[in-house]
Amino acid sequence: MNYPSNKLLTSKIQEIRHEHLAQISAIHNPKIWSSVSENLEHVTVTIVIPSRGCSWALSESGGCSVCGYVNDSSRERDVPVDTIIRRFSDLLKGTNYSKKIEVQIFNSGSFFDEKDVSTELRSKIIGFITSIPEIFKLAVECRTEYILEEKNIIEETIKQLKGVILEIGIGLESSNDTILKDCWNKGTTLENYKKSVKILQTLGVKIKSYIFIKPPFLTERDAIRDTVLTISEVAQIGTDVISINPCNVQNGTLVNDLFRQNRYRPPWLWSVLHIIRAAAKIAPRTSIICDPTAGGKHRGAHNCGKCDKKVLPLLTKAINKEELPSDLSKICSCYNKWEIIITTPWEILRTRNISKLQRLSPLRE
Amino acid sequence: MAFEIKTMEGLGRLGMISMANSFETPSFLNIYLRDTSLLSTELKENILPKQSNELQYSLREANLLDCNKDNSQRSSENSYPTCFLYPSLQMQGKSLDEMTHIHDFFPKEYRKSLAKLDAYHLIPWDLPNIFLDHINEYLQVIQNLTERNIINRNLIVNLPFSRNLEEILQEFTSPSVGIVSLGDISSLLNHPTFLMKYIMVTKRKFSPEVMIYAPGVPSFYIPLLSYLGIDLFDFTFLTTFPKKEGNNAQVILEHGNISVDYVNTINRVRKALKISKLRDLTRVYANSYPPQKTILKIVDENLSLEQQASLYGAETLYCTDDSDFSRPEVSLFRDRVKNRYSVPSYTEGIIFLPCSARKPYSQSKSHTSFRNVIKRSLKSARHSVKEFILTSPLGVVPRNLEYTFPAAHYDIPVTGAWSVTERNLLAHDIEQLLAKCSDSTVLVGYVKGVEREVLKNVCREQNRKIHLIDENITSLTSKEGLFQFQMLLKEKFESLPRLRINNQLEFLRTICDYQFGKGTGNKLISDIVQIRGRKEIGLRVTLNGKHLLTFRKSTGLLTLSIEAAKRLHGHSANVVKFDGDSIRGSTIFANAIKEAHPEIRINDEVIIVNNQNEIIATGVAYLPGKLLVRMERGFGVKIRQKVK
Repeated sequence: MNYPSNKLLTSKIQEIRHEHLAQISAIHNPKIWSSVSENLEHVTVTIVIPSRGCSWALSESGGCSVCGYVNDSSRERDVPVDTIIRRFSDLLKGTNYSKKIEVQIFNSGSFFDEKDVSTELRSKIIGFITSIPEIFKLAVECRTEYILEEKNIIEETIKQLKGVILEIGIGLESSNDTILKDCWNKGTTLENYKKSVKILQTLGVKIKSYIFIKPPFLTERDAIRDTVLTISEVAQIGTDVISINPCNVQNGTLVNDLFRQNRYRPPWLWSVLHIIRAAAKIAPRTSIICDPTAGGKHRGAHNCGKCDKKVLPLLTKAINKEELPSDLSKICSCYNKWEIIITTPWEILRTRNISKLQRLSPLRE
Repeated sequence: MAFEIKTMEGLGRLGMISMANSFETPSFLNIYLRDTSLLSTELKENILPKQSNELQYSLREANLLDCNKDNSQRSSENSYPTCFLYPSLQMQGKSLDEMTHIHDFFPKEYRKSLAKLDAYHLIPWDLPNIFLDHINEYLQVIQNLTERNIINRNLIVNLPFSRNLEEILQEFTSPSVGIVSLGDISSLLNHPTFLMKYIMVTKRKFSPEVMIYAPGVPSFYIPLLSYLGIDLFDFTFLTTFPKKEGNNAQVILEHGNISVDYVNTINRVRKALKISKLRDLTRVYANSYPPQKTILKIVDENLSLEQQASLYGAETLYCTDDSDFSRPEVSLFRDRVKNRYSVPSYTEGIIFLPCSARKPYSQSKSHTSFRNVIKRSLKSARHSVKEFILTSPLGVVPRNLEYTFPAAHYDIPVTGAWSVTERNLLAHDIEQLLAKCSDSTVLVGYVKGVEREVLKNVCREQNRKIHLIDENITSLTSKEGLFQFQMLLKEKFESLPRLRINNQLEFLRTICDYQFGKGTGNKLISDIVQIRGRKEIGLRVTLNGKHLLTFRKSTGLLTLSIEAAKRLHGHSANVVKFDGDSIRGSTIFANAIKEAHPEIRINDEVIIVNNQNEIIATGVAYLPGKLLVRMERGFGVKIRQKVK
């Protein structure tokens, strides 16, 4: 398929991607990452499998400007199918099958892409899932083009799953096509997302939409605007779950380059908090999840460094629609600073982080 | 919607923006943000959090309280020009390659206001291309889209900094916008070299009619940046102080960042520019902040003199610290004495004298007594002996140039102790002078202390014999000292030939050389001119009943008449070519000037010629030579006399 692209952006991302992948391929050892969490009703088992790697990231386009998950994939090596299944069964045994189990299988690419996840791996996983009756839900993720093109695979999978609920996560990131093209190099459009949602809804598949906070080249103010607009758009289109993902800077990406040049700052936690609260008002019927990767760290969404630990629990509170303190500036004075950054033209003219300037002012991060 | 320069000092300029109202620059910009208004009210309310009281205080302080409101809602603000900022192209859903007209950069609903000439509009930029080191392509698009017409003068283009900015902009001509904004300047304030590069490359690349805007700088940087030629500032730096009412004292002491201080600073800068004292004001601010001082030093060292020095400026010239010894006025004087002053061929002896507090030197008590001694002891032989005054920071001042700016206008703190810089500077100038006179010239020094030491050292190094008076005399003005001086003179200059020299003629010729170039004095002023008046008041020179020159005591320089211009034309660089045949009125505007020598300085006397290279008038340059040609508006040359 032919997607709109920004040539300059594509060539730069490609250069960075290839350089980094060549660098790490010698020492790289694909790992399986997993976690288990539990709430009142069910246990959630999350496993990130080292599949072949996202086809979009490995293609000539270079992939998305913020995504470095392809670094952890197998790429030209053999995918350790048996190890994955073994690890998977170990995890499930660990839960003792005491409650219902939700399984999340993420491959940081497309689950229905033949090149990424082979038919063998997919059928083995599905076979394993159907063999355990406690599993009631399977969550995977997929790019829009494979939903549009490989509709039959999805249909087949649904048949094989025999009543286990399937949830597909789609990375929309932004509803603004120009941002997808000029900031993201996402290689897809809002139109494709809408079509995919329609297809999946007719198939009875649950839809989770990933929405991003602060791609490169956007100011904090614009990033907030973009995310809020996207949430309102997505809620209208009819998604079941919205997952809000603040940017975290990953190695071998364009955003990492900018980050090192002091030209990119990950979003503030205040922004994340504000977006979650706004989402609750704009999309009251859609469930919202948000778990910032590397939250409070230098490379993830963070505030001044002093109040990060206090603000992160507030995010969970906001998601559960609990009451928040009315005056947030009492939690940390950096709230005032954030307010200024998003209400004034501070960032519009600047390409650089203002950290250098802070030496001139008594107000430090 | 036009910008013209009224006066300049260094690179700093006092200008005038004429829009619906007219504004004097350096000035601030009132900033307003314009978002696309196509949102539902529910979204609008939720998109940004409600403003807290503290934020509102900060915003009010930074003149940004209404920055999110639209034109109609704004309280009327007339003291500064207005500037609108728009959402970035991505937020508008556009890409750079889709642009076909400059209006495409702006949201549809605001395009109508672009045609009005009451505010400036920042062209929103397409970040991906710029970030990936393609500033040039971005500017190229803007350049292609802005035709040379007045409408585009209300646009602002933002120029991001990159280390190879000069390379990037090499093959690039400036788009016809009104303002160029140095967006990254606030991050570079602590990097003098980068900051200089950023400003200088921009100034070189963009036409002088384009104003330069430095967003988000603290108030204590405003004088320096004005001196470097930046015209517009804003208050946004104030928002980094989210303080409650009553700023804390330390902040004010260290940074002086309250809005009142911004306004005061800019008023000070304007006033200083009007009386040519901006350099002094800049030094006051720079002294308390090392990076600023560094920049001041870099400017003095690296910038060519024509660009910054005017021939004469303020009534007084204060040199209060080491960095002032290299200030452009001083450098210009030393440079001209070195290159344009020649010791007359009949000179048999040289007397070095100390400087005096009262200027010109010859009117001081000490110099009156020195001259009396010289006159008494040498009689008419004194004409073949030249007097030089040793001083800091001007070095060696020939007696004939003592009226000339800045020799009669400077002042320094005097303690008797000289710094190393001052000594080196003086030694260098003495060497230059000694190289100009023949080996047989007799050198006499009636100086003591440091000057004596320096003189002695230089002469020893140059293998020249110098006759100095005793070191132990209490004072140079004491009877004992003067007596020794008399004896010394009689002894050393006994056998000098008695000359008849017209002192006034030579005085005028020396100044003429200084002002118009070496050798012009003899060509312009022949022996048969009539001179009326006195040096202390002013001289009027006529030739065959026609007015030739006037010597002004206030500046110590000459003014030209048509008669003099005729004699001078072809020998001096001070020529401006007027695009036309004849002139009317009393001013030539910069747009009518076709050619001008780049060495012309502000306040230089110039000869005006027409297309056929005929002299049509004489006048005074308002702007340096380069700008006379490049500017398209504003005053160029003030006419003194026209050919009838």
